[in-house]
Amino acid sequence: MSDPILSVTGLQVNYGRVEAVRDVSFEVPVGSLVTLVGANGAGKTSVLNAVSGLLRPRQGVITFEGTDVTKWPAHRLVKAGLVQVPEGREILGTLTVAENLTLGGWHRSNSAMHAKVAEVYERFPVLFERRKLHAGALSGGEQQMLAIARALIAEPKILLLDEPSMGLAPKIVDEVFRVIEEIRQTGTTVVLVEQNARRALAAADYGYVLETGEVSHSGPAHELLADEKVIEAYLGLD
Amino acid sequence: MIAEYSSLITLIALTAILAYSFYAVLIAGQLSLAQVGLASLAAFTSALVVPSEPLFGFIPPLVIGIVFGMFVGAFAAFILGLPVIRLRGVFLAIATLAFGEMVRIFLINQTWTNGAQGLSFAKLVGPGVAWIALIVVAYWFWRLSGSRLGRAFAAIREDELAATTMGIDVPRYRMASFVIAGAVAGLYGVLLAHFSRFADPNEFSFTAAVDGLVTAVVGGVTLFIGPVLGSAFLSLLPEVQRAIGIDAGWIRPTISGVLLLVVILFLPGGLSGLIPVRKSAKRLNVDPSFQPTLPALPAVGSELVSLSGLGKSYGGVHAVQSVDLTVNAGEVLGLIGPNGAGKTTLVNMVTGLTPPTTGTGNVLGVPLTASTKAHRLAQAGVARTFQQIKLFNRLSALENVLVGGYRITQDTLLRRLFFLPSARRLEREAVAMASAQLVRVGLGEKAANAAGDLSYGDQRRLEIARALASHPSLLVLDEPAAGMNHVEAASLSELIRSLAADGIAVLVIEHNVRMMLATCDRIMVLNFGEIIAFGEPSEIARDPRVLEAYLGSAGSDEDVEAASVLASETLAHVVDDRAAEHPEHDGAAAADDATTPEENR
Amino acid sequence: MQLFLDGIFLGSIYALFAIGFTLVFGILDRLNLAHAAVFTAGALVGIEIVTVFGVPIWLLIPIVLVIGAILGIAIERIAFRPLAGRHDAHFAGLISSIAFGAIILSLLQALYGADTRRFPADAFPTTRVEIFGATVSLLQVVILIISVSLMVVLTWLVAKSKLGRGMRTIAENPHAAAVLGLNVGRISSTTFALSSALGAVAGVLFTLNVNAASLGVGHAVELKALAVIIVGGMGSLPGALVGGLILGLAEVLAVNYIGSSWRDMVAFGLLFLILILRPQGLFGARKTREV
Repeated sequence: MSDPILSVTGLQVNYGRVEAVRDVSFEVPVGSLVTLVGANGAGKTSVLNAVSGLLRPRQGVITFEGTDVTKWPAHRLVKAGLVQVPEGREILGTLTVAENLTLGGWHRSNSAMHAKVAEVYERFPVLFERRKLHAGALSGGEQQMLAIARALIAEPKILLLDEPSMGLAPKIVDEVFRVIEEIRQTGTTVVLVEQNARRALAAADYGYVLETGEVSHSGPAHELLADEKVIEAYLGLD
Repeated sequence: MIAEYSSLITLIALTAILAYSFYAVLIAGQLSLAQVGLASLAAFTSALVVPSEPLFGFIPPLVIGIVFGMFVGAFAAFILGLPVIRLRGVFLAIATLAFGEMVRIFLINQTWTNGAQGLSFAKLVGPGVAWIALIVVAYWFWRLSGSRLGRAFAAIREDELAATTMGIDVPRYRMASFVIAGAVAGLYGVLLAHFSRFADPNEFSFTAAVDGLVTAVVGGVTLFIGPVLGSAFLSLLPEVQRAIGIDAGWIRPTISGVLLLVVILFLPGGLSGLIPVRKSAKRLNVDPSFQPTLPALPAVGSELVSLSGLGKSYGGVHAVQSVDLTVNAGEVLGLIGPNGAGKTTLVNMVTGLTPPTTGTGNVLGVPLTASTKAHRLAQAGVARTFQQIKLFNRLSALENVLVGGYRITQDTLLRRLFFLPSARRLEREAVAMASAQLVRVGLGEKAANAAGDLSYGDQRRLEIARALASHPSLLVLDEPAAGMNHVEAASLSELIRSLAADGIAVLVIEHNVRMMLATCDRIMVLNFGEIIAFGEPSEIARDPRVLEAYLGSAGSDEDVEAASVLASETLAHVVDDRAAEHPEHDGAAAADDATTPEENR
Repeated sequence: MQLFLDGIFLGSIYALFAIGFTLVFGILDRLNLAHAAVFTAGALVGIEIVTVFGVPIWLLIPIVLVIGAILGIAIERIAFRPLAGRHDAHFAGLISSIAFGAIILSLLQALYGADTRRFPADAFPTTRVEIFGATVSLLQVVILIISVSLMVVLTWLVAKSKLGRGMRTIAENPHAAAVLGLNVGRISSTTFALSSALGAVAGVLFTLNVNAASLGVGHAVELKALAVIIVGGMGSLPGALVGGLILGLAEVLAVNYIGSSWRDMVAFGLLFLILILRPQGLFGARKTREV
């Protein structure tokens, strides 16, 4: 395992009195695809939001490229190259597709941003076609693509994806996973949080299974896929 | 000693009554600043009718004034409510503020009010009368808080749309809270005028309205005692400051301002948030002897929904085109299709949230027209959940389900006012019915938790329990398994089958195709607002158009055909499994074939 | 013609106050009721500065802008930011801004007392000019120029600058803005600073116009400003400008033709009518909610 680009140690996150995350540690090697899976309320999204600086953890240390970033606010992390694609996509519906993409380059110079937007249009021709439409008029799948594309404009070193397949038709889910695979092939490190554990593990190098705020299983993804305990608890035994 | 403070004691009571008139609208999620305007109308008009001698020799003049003032306040609130009740939030606040100011300017320009010079009143109110009035008002709100009416107000405050789909006639209830608040404001106006013996319209200004609102919010709206606490705190504060010798003109308002800021920033529930409360509506009651007998559901197989050519277009764009459909009692009907295919629009039409633009429909005897109200359909027996969860977040799980029982429970406010035994019995029955639904979806342990604190999957289950609490004939579930894993989805599927076995017709939208194939009796597939397939799960799984439009395949174009074949085979496999009711097989390998055909390549 | 010009002067001051008001509402969806106190602070501090230091008007305006901006940042930090994420942030924000406004006013009372104050008699030139047969003072022309140029600059800022783009993003979806790496806290602070700077300058200009200011001056204007932003459309900057001018003209005409005791009825009657007939205002966009 090469040096981790991101490492999380002893993370604890509370909402009021509710402990959403009790004790989570994981490492993400450079260039890998790591997935966090688990049932509802296991704390996956809270972990991701704490890592992105959107939530202040109660305890624990988050290191990004060797620097302690535990107390960094979200905008500083984005600038440093840690970018999230949030659950529910969070596109700006009343702005156009092009405007949404422009916002992705908030911390980049104008020329770098425009170059990146052109690059993204090449990868997602459908967004180029619809660049002048209001983002709210896109279908669910297109909105998910826009959310991913918008994050790419920020030139992330590590991309965090939260439930990218939620609420999408099976056909579109396939497409989303293909895009994720392409992104990681360009060298970007990816952290994927997914409800669809089987799909996520099939795509990932390493997996961490979260259960009530703690890591219950971890290891190379293909091993987890074959682990009977994991299968029974999370993947369903039909 | 008492005499020295008598006017302070009276003012605490009067300020609390004003705060109750704000409380009455705040508990239903509305913000009205018209309250002092209504009070002023009541005060000045009462001067026209209050006699100097008891009426018929025994009805005291003040009683006449109070009754008249409350009527004026309620009536004026009703008239004001007619145009403004549809406004929300800040807009409602500003409209009512404008009304208050208009009343003030109007009264100043009238001769019978003596204009800005002000009017004299008889001194009829002292500490005794003021506190008796306050106690009556507080008692009324105390008894309201646990009644069905009180729960309906809370539901509207938390989520209007969800409240509508529980069968609550939201505009009517919002108006009711407006009128109640108006009556209390009228009471305040009459009492204040006959306490201070003099009133001019300028006293009933914007500043006075803001003071009343501040009192209510500082006291808190989570508990009926809030307005009294707020009034006592804010009235005593200057007295305490005077007593300890802080008297410079500016120090007092500074300290008051700082304290107000501290309360609002650090005590989210206001002062009443400090009081630990024992809420009876947090405990389950699973004693079957309290379960009332409910009316029977329609006979299995009888037609509940019939749609003919039903469609909806938004400015020329057809969200749903011409749907013909019948749904019978006891069947599970699935609705699948790509995002934006019109599934949610269709169920919104069936539940009365979206009026159809073409075609006709009849749901449980209620015709679907442009003017069909969602609460009417809910009262007829339609219940639903939402794609974007809509719970009453600050209410407990059990309270959520109690609101769900609105349709089949009776109002208890009057009985509660007089502590009739039947009130207790009705409440126990309501709690017992709600508890049974919570237990049924597996949330018995979490009855006391606030709905907003539950995990995503639990919130989905709670929404189903809330829908079931209305004893529906038709249950509509919009993506109930979103965010659930295979295990959770399997138990949801079981629950749906058992509901259908009870005779409920269930209409489900869901992307989890595997679950749908295993759960539904019939499946309708929509694409671009059109029905592209409709039939039994086994037919749907083999339909090439469905595979093309919805299930599709990953990979490049040349893979499409092969993948479709593969997908149809694996889907068929799933269907066969269900038909054979043979749960034990090599699940790990087959489990996600239905959704991820390309992995088997 | 005289009436028309008077209406325009009054209206431009209403507009300046209302633009600050509506800016915060439009971007952050919060009604800042401490805005009236900032207006009063601008007026009273402005008088003090001119009385003590005798600064000319072109220097006074930038000084007051800075004072207003500082107050705005304080309001955002103390009265609004701690409420972020609370379910009752709407109500609570109203109350906390009322409380903060009351604190500002009581401090002003401590500094300057409760009496009405005026600018020194010879502080500004009293030249009068004739335009189209109406007499206006040079001061009024200056007031008009200042308020219009401030409004133009602000509108440009929101529509075209990067800061403005950030503001509009936060207005639409604060969570998405944070995810995209926008510094939501700083942009909110800046919005409040801009809003309050305009509010404070509006206080000075209003006082220049009528040459009298007391602690209660802000409240009266606050109610009018609410009418202005409703008429113009909540959150709409051009709406606030046009709404301000309409109200200024309507009031001047009402005083002239109906009588001064009914003057305030104009503002509230107009407000009430607009809310019932066209709740989104003349320039506002109707916000639709998703099911």
